[in-house]
Amino acid sequence: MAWTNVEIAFILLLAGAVAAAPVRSWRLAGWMATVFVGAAAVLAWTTGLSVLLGGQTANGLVVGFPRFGAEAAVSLDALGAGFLLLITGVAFVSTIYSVGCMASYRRENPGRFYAFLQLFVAGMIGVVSVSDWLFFIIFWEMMTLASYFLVTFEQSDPAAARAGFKYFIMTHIATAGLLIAAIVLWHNTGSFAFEAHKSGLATMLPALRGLLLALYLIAFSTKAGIFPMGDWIPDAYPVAPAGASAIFAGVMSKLGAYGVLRVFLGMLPSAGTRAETMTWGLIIAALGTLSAFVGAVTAMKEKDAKRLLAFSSISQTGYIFLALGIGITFTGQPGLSSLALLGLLGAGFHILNDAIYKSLLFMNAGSIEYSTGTRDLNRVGGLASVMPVAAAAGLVGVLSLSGLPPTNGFVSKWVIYQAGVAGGLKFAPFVAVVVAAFFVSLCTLAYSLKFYSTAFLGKPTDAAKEPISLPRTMTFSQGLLAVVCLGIGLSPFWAIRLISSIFGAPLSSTFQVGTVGGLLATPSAAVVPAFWSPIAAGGALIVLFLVAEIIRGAGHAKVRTVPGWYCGEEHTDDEVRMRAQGIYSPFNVAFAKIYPTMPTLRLPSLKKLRSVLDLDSWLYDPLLATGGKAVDKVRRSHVGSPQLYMIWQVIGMVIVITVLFLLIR
Amino acid sequence: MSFSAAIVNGAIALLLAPLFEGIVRKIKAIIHSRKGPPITQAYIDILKLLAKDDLRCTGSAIFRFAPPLALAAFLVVALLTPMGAPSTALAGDMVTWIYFLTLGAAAIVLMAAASGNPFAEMGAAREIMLLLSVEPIAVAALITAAIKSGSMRLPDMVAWNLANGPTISMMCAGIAFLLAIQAMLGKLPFDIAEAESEIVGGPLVEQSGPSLALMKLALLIRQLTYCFLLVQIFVPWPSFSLWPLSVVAALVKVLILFVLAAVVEAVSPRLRIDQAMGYMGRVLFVALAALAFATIGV
Repeated sequence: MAWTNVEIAFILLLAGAVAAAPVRSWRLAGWMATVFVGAAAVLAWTTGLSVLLGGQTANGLVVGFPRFGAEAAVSLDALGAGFLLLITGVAFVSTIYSVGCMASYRRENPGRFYAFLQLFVAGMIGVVSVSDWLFFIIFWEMMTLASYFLVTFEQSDPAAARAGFKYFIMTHIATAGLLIAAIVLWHNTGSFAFEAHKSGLATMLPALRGLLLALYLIAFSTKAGIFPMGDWIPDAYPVAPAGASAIFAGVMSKLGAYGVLRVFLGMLPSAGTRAETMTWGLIIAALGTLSAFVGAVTAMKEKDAKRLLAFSSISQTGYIFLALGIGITFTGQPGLSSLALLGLLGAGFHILNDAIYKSLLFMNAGSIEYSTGTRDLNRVGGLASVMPVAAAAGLVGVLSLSGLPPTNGFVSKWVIYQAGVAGGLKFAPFVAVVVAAFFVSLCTLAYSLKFYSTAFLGKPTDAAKEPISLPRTMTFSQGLLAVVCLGIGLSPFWAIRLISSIFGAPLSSTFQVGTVGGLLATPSAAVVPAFWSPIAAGGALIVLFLVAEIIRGAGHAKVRTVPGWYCGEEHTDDEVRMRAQGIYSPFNVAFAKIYPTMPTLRLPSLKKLRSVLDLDSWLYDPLLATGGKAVDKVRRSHVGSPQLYMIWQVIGMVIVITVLFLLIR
Repeated sequence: MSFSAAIVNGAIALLLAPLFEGIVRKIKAIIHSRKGPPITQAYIDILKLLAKDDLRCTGSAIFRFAPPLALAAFLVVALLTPMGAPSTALAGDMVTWIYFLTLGAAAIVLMAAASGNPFAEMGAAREIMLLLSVEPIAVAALITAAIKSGSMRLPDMVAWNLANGPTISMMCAGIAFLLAIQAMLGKLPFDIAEAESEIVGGPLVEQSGPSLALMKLALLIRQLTYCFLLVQIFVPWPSFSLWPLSVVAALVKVLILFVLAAVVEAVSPRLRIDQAMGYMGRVLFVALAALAFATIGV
């Protein structure tokens, strides 16, 4: 029984969690977690890359329950491997970031944060590397519970408790659906394996199959944060520490897309009829479009930096689902395989890109909070002078988020639009999806510029006159992610090729490398001609930029520094500031009611559940107190001379020998 | 794009954009019974500004580099726009066209925000809101053309329209585009972001000297590219086998469009941003109708 690197990584993270638990120093706990997560990431990357490039599944049996038809075997195929790379990569960078960032949580317990952080990452690794629904759900639950404790990490904050509670309830209702689906299929097939459930679905009554698929979709879109089900996101992301919410938004929400891919791409097309696949594809695309629209329009009026990004997360996951929906709709349709692949490629590429720039932006928002002590965009400003590196990285992040060339966000949107237009040629409703997607993209530009310009540009506010500069770990991690954003944007080929291979198709079935190293849509019946060359377009942009600079310098004009002009009247900067809440107000008035405010749960019986969930009150603190008391007692009884202990030992030995003697006789 | 198209498009954008502005101002003056500035006034303004002092109200790098970036982005758009010169496989598609246009707008907004001037920021917010209400119309019109021609590439759309003649959906999309063109040009009744009638001129308040010259040129080039897109994609006739003639024909059509825009501007009052958004919402219905026509194949 050979252990694969994935299992070792998993066990390393569990060990890391145990090791981190008793540590009381933020720095020590942080660096320990960095080492453990880093080691796990290296192991996961070696296996993941060999699976992705070699095309073979990594297998390794750990523990099986043949009686239940369940086994916790590592079975890492290309899809899982892709997600594994993403999870461990983003988690590693976020852990580095946390080392610096968590210093602002001095009053809290570092052991609790890093222990749950590592359990959380371990759970995510487990989710993507099993091929068995029982263990999928176990790891899913491990991930959910660990992330619950990260959301409620700041215990003095009642908002965190409320948000965590909402998160707990919503995701558990969803997981219950997942469990019901798994049990029903287990009952029918006697096994929990993905393959068995696929045939189980195939032999089922269509109505029941539809019901189960609905349960799956609800469960996964709740985790992904698709609009009506993702209502926990705008509450939970802002209250979690930035290092954790970077992982939530960066990779945990993507696992919802992973689940959808597993069920609706891995199981449905061979289990259901073609019409069923198409219907579910359309439902997913419609949900995605709705979510993209509502999330983006709501984000435009937010003034809390992290809440704005949380709505952005809802919107961007919507994009992913929209592309997934297009891909799934055309999966299995004769002659449209390249169109299906185009949609999946767009979704996969957007998953990758959103994971990178969204975690970057959450780190960015965390930097704002770290430096000024507030997330309120109304009260911050001009931070670019305090944290130049974070400001530059944030600029790359918002440009990527709004999909502007030549960043990575542009390329995935470019693929998604192509899939939409090509899909629209075959099936008209997708045309509406593309128009909506373009509009959402503009809204994305609007809110990301609002986020960036209010926080980093302009004049410093009175409230944030004394911002603290960032520790090096925070700037390093953001700079790294920004470089990755630009790198993927400028050479998207390897990423697209890798994602193509995940979906089991060579790159040439959608794109080929055209002139000047551009991506050229392969001429084929199902795909529309399109062309994007980052080198040609980026080169033209640079050349023309230099031309513009030459024009500017042609007149040999003098450069002078002057104060800003407020129509002749002297004002202080704070008096005349354009605050975040005022930006886009006419637009926001027009779309005032788009996001319904849901009632908060206020049931008395749930209070008990909340207190049960509060591990500190009944498990952690009492355990610590008991342990401390025991150690105290031991210490008090060990104050005598060594001779006294020798006597105790001799007496003890005599008693033990006597007892043994009596027993044996 | 072939090399000649790049040269021709770039030259038209850089050299002729101010000329159209001069013509528009002259026509407006005639309607207003004024003498008006000479047709070359826009060139004179830009040349004069190039020699004036460049006043900086902030040390921000974004403030420093946004004007050339905006100009470069709009010039890339101009290179991608069909202007009659032949283009080959290298020309980008409509997504590239739209996003480079957006990149330029983003540069303007960031520059305004970096200046720290509340008037500039307010102008920038208006710019974004206008973009939000206008660009969906351009997008819907372009997607109509993409659906009809089965291609995302702009030259293919032109070629398809030339080969297959006018269709209901393309005409409808063209009309929607035409109804929105006044806002795309930033002219009355939609000069809400540029606000040339206001004492503080929108996002450009803090710009001066050569930076202002670059911004003015950039905005003029943006107007020109919108016009070229409208006349070439939706009304590509007449087209000649000798391409310089096609370029001239396109220029004449653009001139007619500018004259039309000048007349509308001269007789229109200014709208508030919410009124403009309402108007554009209605125009969007026309564009969506075009899309619906395109999907049923007319």
